[in-house]
Amino acid sequence: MMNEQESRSNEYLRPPLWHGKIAFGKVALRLTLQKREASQKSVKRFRQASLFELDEPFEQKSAVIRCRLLVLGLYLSFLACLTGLWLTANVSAGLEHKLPFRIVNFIATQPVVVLLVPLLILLGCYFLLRLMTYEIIAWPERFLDERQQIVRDRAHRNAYKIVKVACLLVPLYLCLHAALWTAQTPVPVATHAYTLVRSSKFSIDVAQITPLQGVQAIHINPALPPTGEQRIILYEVVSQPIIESFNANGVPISAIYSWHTIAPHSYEQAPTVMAPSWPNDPTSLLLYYGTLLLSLLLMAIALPMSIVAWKERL
Amino acid sequence: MAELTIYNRLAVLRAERGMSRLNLANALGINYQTVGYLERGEYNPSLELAFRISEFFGLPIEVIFSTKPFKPLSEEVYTRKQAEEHV
Repeated sequence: MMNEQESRSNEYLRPPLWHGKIAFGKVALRLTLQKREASQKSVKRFRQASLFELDEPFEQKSAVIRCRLLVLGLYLSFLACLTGLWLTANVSAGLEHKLPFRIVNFIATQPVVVLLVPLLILLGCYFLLRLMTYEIIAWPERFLDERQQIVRDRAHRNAYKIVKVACLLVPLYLCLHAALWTAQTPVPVATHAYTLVRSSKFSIDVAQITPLQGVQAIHINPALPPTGEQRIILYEVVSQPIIESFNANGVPISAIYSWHTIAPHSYEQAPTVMAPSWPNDPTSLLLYYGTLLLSLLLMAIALPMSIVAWKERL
Repeated sequence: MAELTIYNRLAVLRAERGMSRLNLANALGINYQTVGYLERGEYNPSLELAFRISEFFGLPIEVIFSTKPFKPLSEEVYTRKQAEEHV
């Protein structure tokens, strides 16, 4: 035993091949021996720790906190994705009343950023969560022991329950929302309007709002770009047309309505800011619905993982 | 029906044999985290796993698992010794 140890220690006492570097060799030897002692100590400490698990509670606590933060990040980024989708879809539908103009302007001009940033964060959280739970969720069943199988089955069962409830609640919410929203909105009498309102301040194609269903924001006609700054005022049709003009074929060519402003709210709009044709072009459609589908798919896949990460110690 | 708590002596037996959780898990064919769950009493093993554990340690199942909390081994041995001496 001693001979073995001596021969091992003698390995370090061999003179270096290049005699000019003996001094350097000694320093290197000392450093190597210190390093070896340190590594032996750490191995011993690790063995002791793994045997008695003295520091287990601290490790467990930090691991649980890490996992839960990741799950929270996943759900928050999913909410951010949905919010981004909602904002980009409603940017030209009266959103300016609820949010500051700069934010609306940013959403209108940079919809890709609004959609992709939360989606990328969601993807990052998803892959981290997958990395943490792959031993239970991703491995084939033959590699799992009985506890892991139970944990996985329970997570899938709970996820199924959540998806089932969501599938019931979402259509219910949509129906209720539509019903309540329609009930609260006063239905105007007017049924059609054919006219084009032009002025130095604004251009509004009223034909866009036929048939009228409740209070509607009148959109700016992009075909008639105004010059300079413009003041946009929202109107509501309150009665039948007072005067209508028809051509020889009986087609109405103009009409005068009694209008009044919906709210005394108006704002200055820079000529460069126009509501985008979102989501009308194929790229925008692909981006919009691609983001929606991908975020929903990721959430459905990540649901069992998030349950495992939230409840179990990984 | 409330889940029955099953106490075990896995941690003591493993420490007596100088084994790490990983070694024991490899010997039993389970994940090392499962050993931790068993030792903490957070997971009750199946009958099959309980038999495997008792076979591995070479002890009867009732020595390793119990529905009542175990006394410390030293205390148990000492009281048994005293009882034997008394007899």
